[in-house]
Amino acid sequence: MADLGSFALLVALVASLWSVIVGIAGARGAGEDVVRSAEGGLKGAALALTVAGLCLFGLLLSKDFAVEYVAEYTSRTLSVFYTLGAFWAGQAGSLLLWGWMVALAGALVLRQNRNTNRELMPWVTVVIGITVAFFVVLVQFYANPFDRLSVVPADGQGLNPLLQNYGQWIHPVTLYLGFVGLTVPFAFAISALMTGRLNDRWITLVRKWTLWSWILLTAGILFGARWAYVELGWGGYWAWDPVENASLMPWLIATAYLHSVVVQEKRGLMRVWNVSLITTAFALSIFGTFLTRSGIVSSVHAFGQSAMGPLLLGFTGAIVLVSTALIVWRLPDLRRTGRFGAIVSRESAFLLTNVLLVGIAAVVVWGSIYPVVAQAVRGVKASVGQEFFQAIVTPMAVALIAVVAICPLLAWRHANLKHLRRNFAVPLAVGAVAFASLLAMSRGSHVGVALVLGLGAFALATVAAELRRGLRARRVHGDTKPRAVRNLFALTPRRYGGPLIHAGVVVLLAGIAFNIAYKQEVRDTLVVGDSTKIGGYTLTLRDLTTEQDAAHFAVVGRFDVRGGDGATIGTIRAEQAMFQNDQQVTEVGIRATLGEDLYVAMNGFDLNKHVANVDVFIEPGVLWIWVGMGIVLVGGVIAAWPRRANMHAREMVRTRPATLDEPPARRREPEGVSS
Amino acid sequence: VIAVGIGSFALVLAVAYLIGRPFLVPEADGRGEAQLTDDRRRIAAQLRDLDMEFATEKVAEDEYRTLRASRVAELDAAETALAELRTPEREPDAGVADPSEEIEARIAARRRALERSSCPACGAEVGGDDRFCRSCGAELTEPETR
Repeated sequence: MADLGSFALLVALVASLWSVIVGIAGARGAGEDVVRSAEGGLKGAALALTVAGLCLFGLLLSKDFAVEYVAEYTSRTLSVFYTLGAFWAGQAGSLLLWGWMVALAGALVLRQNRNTNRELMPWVTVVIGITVAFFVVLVQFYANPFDRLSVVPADGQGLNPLLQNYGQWIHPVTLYLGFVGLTVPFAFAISALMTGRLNDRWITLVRKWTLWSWILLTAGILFGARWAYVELGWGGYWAWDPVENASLMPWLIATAYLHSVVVQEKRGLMRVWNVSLITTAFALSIFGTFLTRSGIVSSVHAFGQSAMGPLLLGFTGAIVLVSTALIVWRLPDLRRTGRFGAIVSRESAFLLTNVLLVGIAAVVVWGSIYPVVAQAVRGVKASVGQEFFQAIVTPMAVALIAVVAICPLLAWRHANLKHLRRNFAVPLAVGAVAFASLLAMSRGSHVGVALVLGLGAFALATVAAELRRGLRARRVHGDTKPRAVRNLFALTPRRYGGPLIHAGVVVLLAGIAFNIAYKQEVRDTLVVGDSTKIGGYTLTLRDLTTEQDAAHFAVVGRFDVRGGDGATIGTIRAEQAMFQNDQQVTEVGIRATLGEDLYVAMNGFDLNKHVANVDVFIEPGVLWIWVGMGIVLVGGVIAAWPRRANMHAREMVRTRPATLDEPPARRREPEGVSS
Repeated sequence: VIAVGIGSFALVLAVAYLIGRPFLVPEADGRGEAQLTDDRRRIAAQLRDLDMEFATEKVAEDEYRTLRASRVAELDAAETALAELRTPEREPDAGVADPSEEIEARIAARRRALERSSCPACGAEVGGDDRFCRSCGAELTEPETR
């Protein structure tokens, strides 16, 4: 099977190179059959990589330890679930997954556009073909999962226990798919630049792709945060680690793109900016891979030292150079646009959103590469701590919440003052009341949190007002109440999925603000029967026991939790587990409530003396981070969900009122009920 | 070894087929219609979004009217082109086409495009003479689409 896998990689390389070379010929006018053949090459690469991928799955399942990758990441005792998840546990497998998914995405794009947008497809095929070929080269020559060992070991080394979490099936896969998805809009952008077809068609075409990439990146990042929180035992969820940042950079830029692209769709503005953003997002996804896989930064995530660094950096450089050159070449065509609106207008708000997001991205990029640059230029080891990021990013994130609160209510070109006053009155009042009461409750300490939560309340009220206004507009169409709700999301999914995402982000950021402000920590050494106090809780170490099975040995500490009134409110189980090769894992115990998590990590023990070292945290607002995550994902899926074909008929009905050329009159709203 | 050989051979064959097929079998041309249908869908979605923006006070009335008129023109252009494309072409040996006949055909095609109506309640396609929707049962007294 390893031989077949190796051979399939070779076939994939040849097929993807075919799609590139023949695709370039097709793009230069060699004829439709040539273009179709290039597309066949890309589909062939997808097929070959599917064979390679299935071979690796097969090797892992059959625990063929003659294959180095299998021996390194699985063992006889590893469950099937994690054995399959070991596919992307190492450098070689994850790169194969990446290349495989890019090729499948390419095949899907070709399928979607087999009869449409044919003029764009040659270059799209070429760009995706290059990306696939690049990853296949990495897998084939730098990290081949099908390499064999000269001596076959009796058992494998097993999967790193930290990776033995359901997150292994969500976090890496969604992140890779998110990165992969960014290839498609990038390919269309390059194709639009190459062919000079710079009208807004390509933007509409890649909308769903960008949205799905964004959702997957969001899911990847947030599930990663949750995984770190429950598995690493340090009481945090985000450490500004270079590799975390590597996923955040393209996410921020993609977020900026999703907003600025609306301005292009509606007003034909920011076209240079949009093309630049989408190429930057893709370049950053590859640059992030370079940071993660070259071994130049140290991180929990980093793969070992490898020789592929220069190649990844070179690819990033090539993307930046080629994109910049193309954009400069097409500047005269891109610039042919209308005028920007007034200072208080929807487009200005979108611009501000963009400036903030790109600003945060710039800070994150600089903070992540500064240690590398300092090392290279001045030869000193420097590190950039959390404080740097928090100090700069926090005010920008707060400003973002403010924009989220204000932007949805503004009109294009110039905001109508009367509307503005009417639309803002209620949300602003809600925000002000929230701010004032929070300030009063905290007796004036923590002004920052009160501000964030006040702005958050303002933003949530805006979202509610926006949804309410949309519902009312639907009712004018004659919808019944339940149907109005359904149609609002089914017929204008992007317009109303967006506010849900905003609401989720606000809830999430409020959770983070709350957490940072009110977090408490106690480190203690407890003998069985001893207690420690934190934030109104009393924690007593009831006993220390051991558990053992074929794969691991664990010491389990059970803690009785008592509340402020002394009554027992539960027990928490925290665990320290030892796996093969002396790998240790802390399984934390968490008692989650709406307000706060009580988080217990047992980081050391002495079984003979019945002693345990514990880190106990009060983590306020953490649950809200996950709730916010859920809302964001639901909103995203609503916005991006593919609509069935018969929806198009309904679409026609709804957009074609009785007389098409007479726009429907805006309903006169009775005084006093306006949102 | 034999299994690997067969597998490799099959893979090479499949990829060669994907690459070589376009040169051997000419692609059926469904392009024009697919593109136009796609355009129509896109413009219709934009139109609806524009209506929603207007209904929620995101766009001023004068601008809305201008934008809407241009979108409607685009939609009409796409629909006319589609209707023309779907009208079966006359036999080439039918002699010189009567120009008035051609105009009649175009008008008929345009009417067909406009009359393809849908249920205002659920969106399912309904026949011209139906009094109730076959899909949801709503009464079709005043057709919304005409």
